[in-house]
Amino acid sequence: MRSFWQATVSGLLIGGIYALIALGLNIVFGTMRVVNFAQGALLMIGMFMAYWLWELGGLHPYLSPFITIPALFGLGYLIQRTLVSPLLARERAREPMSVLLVTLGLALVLENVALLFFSADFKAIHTDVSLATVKAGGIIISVPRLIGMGAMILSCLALYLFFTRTDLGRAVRATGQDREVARLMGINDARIYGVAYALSTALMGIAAAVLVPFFYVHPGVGTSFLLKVFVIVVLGGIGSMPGAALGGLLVGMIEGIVGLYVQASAAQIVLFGAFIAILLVRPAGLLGVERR
Amino acid sequence: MHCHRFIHGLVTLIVSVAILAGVAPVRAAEEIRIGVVSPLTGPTAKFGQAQKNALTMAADDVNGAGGIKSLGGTKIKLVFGDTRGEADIGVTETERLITREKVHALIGAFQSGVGFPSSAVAERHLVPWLTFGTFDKITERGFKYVFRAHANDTMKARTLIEGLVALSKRAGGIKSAVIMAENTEWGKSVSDKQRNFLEKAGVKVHFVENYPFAAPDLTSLIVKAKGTSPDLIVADSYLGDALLITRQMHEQELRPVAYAAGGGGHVQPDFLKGVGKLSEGIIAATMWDAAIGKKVPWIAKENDRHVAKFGAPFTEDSAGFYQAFYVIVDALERSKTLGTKELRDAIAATNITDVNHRAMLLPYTQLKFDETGQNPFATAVVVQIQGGKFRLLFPDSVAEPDAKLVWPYLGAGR
Repeated sequence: MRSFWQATVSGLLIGGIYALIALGLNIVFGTMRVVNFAQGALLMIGMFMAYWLWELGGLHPYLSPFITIPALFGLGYLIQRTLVSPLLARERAREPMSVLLVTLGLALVLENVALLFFSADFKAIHTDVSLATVKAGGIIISVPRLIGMGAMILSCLALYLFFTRTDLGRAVRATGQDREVARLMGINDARIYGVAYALSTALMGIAAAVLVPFFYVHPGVGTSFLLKVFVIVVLGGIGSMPGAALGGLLVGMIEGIVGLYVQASAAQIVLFGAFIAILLVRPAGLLGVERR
Repeated sequence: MHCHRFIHGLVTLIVSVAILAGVAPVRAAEEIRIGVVSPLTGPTAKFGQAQKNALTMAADDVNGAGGIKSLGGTKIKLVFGDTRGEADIGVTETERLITREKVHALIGAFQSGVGFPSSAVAERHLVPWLTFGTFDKITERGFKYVFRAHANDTMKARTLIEGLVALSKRAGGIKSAVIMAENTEWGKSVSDKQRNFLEKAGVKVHFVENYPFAAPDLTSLIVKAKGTSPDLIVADSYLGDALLITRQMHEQELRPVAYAAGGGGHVQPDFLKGVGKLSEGIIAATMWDAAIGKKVPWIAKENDRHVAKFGAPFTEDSAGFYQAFYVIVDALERSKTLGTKELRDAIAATNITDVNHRAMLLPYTQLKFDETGQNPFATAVVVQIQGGKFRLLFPDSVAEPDAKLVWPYLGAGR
């Protein structure tokens, strides 16, 4: 029984990290109706930033967001204005295909640039928290993963406040609900898209900061998370923030439990099976709202 | 005008030297070309450059000592083909080396995934190919021109398990094991062989699990292994998963008596950096280590010379390329012609038993090829990470005399 709880808790903890990345994907999707295939590559950029800040500057990864968040916010805004925005303006459809493809192209470019500069080698750092654990009722909890969970919850709260209490946040939501009507209300939708993309990219700075102490960095690292995050977003409800959080935790937990009783490879089969089943039975996801 | 006069002078000089030396110009123009298929640029370039260094040293030595004697002192020229670590480029480079450069033999290609298709090109053109790459199947396709002097994956797995069993006997033995292997072709086949060798040695294998190598968390696997309290954990991993497994074993307090690695992940510098002291006591198999020189004096001398020239010792793979080069040299001396068919037959008839032969840089009791082209006498060596460095512990014939076994792993709490 202790094994069961251990697997559940460990699964939930890594699920918290998934949720953090899923939140980023959902901000872009909720606003622009675009699946941002570059999300994983942007996470990778964030991780390399955190890695080099520690390697070259001695900055602890947990402090890296002070630098990476503004930097990634700027990068995200720039990407949106130079690559996504011109395409989006040209597209008449509500779910623009060319934009989706441009994010895929961007992901490939970023990964290959990283490959060129940092090589395909895996890089890892060893910090004071990397191996720290706490015990509770016989369950061993990894401290850096617990911190990841905390960061996810705080990010959720901050995003919730931003989207409900600030004019800018409300404008982002309004644009997501109806681009044309929002524009009629005087919202500059191009700028709002920039903010949404930048916010989603900046969030990767937080995910990177919590991942780097216990994980590893290489040019393809984001892509391996991205597939799972797609499942989470569909499971929780495309565009739904609470859905992303719940989906992340659920996927982590399923992985943990199936990994214990069957094996890790089987967990992937269960997850992607669930992915297909949900698309067939409840396309809006667990917490998603059916859209007309 | 200056330039013109210079060339004119040079030609006069060369012609007069040739006449004075009484060398027939046609004979002198002839050379032996050995093609080298290896990743000189790209993500694995540092390996390719090390291979180039070792081969350059070997070729300079042979040429400096008068070339191939049975061929009237013909010199050897290395012709390099850069794979960039990619299979399709390896294939086209092999094609180019054979058809354009007219090489007489080839060595390649470091990554098994590149060597597997590239060696098939050599076979098709009937040009001998000396493999560096451990994938068993490279020599299991019924080919006549593809040879491997060093150990394949099966032999490496056998040495690792033999070494583990022999070393553990000094410290009470191991009775049970869990094998965790990544789930690509390599991990699956290696873990399968390890299970067989362990069971033959009377060690109970609780389970073998092939995990997805990019998995962000492997706690469940570690917890499952912990439930069986194995004496031995064998992990066949790339770098990322090696880091994850080692860290999560520590977190979940899985402390086996012995922790062995079947693959490359656990022996890379970034692994040592990433896990720090958790590497202490990890046991791995490799094909070459500089410590072999402690028992075989010429290898120490050769390695010192390499260090003096290039600032670094031979690596496992550069030593393998060096060995392959001398297998070809040995065959050239016996074939007495540059025909690739005759050279192939001479390689197939290789039979080296002298440990001081240069092809024994990777030392075995014997170097010859069976009908598949594999050297059945090839073995590996077993090393242990101690204080962030490797100590050579097995087999006894090459073990470091002053190396002590760290046992149990991490001084495990039991």
